[in-house]
Amino acid sequence: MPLKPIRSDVGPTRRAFLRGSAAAAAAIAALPGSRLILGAGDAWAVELNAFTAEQGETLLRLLRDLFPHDHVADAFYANALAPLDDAASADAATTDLLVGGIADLDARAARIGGVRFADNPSEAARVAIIAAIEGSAFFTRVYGTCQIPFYNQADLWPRFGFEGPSSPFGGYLSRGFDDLDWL
Amino acid sequence: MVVVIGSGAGGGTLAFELSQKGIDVVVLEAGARRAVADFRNDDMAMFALFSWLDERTTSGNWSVGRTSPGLPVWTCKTVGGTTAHWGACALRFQPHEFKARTTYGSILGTSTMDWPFDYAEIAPWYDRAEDKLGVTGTHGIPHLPVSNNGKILYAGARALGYTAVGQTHMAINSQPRAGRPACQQAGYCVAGCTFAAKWSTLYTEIPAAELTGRCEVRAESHVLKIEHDRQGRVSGVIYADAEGNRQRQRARVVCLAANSIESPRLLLNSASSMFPAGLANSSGQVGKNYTRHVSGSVFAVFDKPVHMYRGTTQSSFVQDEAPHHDARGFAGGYLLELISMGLPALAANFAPGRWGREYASILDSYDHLAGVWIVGEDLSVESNRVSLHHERKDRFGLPIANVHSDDHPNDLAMQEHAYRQAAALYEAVGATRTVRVPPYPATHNMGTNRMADNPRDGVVNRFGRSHDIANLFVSDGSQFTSSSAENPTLTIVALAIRQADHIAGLMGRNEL
Repeated sequence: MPLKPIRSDVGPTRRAFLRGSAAAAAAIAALPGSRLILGAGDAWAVELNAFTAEQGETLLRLLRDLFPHDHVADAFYANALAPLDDAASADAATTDLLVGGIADLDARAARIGGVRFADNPSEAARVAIIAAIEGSAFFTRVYGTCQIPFYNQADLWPRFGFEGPSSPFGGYLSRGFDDLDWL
Repeated sequence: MVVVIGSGAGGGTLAFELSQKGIDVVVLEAGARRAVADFRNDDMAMFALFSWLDERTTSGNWSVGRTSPGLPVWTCKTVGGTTAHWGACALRFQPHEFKARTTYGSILGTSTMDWPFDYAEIAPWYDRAEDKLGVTGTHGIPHLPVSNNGKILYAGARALGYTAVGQTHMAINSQPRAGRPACQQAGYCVAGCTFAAKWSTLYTEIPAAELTGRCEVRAESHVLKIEHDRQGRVSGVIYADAEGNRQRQRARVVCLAANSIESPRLLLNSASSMFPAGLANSSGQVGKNYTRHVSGSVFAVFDKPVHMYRGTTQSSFVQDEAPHHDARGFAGGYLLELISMGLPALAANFAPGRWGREYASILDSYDHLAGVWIVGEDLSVESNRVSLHHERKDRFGLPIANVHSDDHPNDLAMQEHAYRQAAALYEAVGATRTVRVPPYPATHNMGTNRMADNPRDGVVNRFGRSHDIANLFVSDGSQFTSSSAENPTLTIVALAIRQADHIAGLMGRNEL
């Protein structure tokens, strides 16, 4: 019996620094010239090594469109950028691939709407741009690097109704493994 | 001295059975030795801890070649082998499945054969295997209870008119047995059982073998080559130890139990001037007839919560489609077994490469999902095979394995039938949406050193003994003549117990 053969860290190596409630904060800010992405009201911040704040913002928007869960705060997506940032920090070719892919996304967005990818308010327009680059080395790298770290955040699981590890609590034997009563 | 290569269901069982009979055994296991305390409810970390991740390549039109081209199978590199990971469904083959060629007839493009023996001959060994594994629903051992995911399966199956629905025979303790506790319904069965309620050779056969004083288990000992003498009998093996140093272990008998990719690879990589096509390969069958089961999953969305991840992962199943019926338009049959995954594993597996709203909406329904896994017989096809890569080498300088598989029309017809039935089953109890999930990298890998009475047709005889080399045996699922619809482990264990009896007899009579 099966699982996905993806080698992955058990989660992002760095986490958004939460300062109070990050819930439902839709707005983020990228400080121009910095490497810091800030959540609304400074609720959280992530510092990037390999990307500028604007580049990070593009990546974060991309992750939100790849794995769109409106009930999940930006901070969780920002966390999933960490392994990408680490990979780019460790390898110049990866930096080139990712920075080039970000520039390509922004250029495609500029051609159709005159604004950067992250600033195009139309999800349909952004999805069309992503569909056009699906299968590219950039797309494959972002998808393959960020998907599992995004969904593998234990703090995220309650929002999906997943209770996670049970052995530390004695399993689900007395915690609802057979409590379904609506059939 | 018997050298056993691999410590999983085949190798671990064989090591115990031989050492208990007073035979000295050395087990060489490529992976590291872990303890139950190393297991955690963490799919990703455990995958990284004990999976066999050495590079492989793929070819052919099978979907796994697209979704997972570098990791076509999911087996383990650790003491205990794939019994660390297995879901613990412990099922006997159906009698007709030992007569695949006779039952299904000649099917274009297949190389199906009957096994050299019939069900009656293996039945007593199944009985011993079930006792060893503590299989639920046998030997007076109660079944495991029905989980939420199972309740949905039962209701859907009955609504569809199925009658052979019930609790799976599981090698997971439903009550304390053999010094191990009962299942605590933790889920995460495939990440290693943290309670040791699931049978694994890591903490059953291996320590029991060591207790006899006749078995030495060497972990992190990766066998590179099987050597032979001038008479063409195997004389020992060369392996790389934990430091990467080459070591030689001499052997009176070698038993190969390295799973259906590595076992043929090792035979092929052991080619010599006397055996230029690889050891035990006068038939040319080494590596061929690779089977991996017709597979796939269906997940269904319900209006109300299910929490499928709670409880034993595979504890219920439907057997109505397991028999062979000509009327369905395909040969062989399939089972529907429960499946569930944690959120990250599901996200990574249910729609490889997919993204966007449709993808995310399934995960938004995570706690309202039920799931079932298709496991059916795939027919032997000679061109589906494990072969040596022409250029790529591993860190020891040896050619890596390429795994080639093309879906046969029979496989696709069965899979389509199973997908439709599984979706209908869930729709019959109110599913609002169903999702077809493509096969995962196979944990059931079989057939690549198949068993045949006639040395022209197969690699080993009815006892797993090489037709060409009298003191070389194959002791894993690669000796399967055909795949059946059932999970392979119980049959691997039954064959290993039987093989140990056979080897002990030969040695006792000085015939080996």
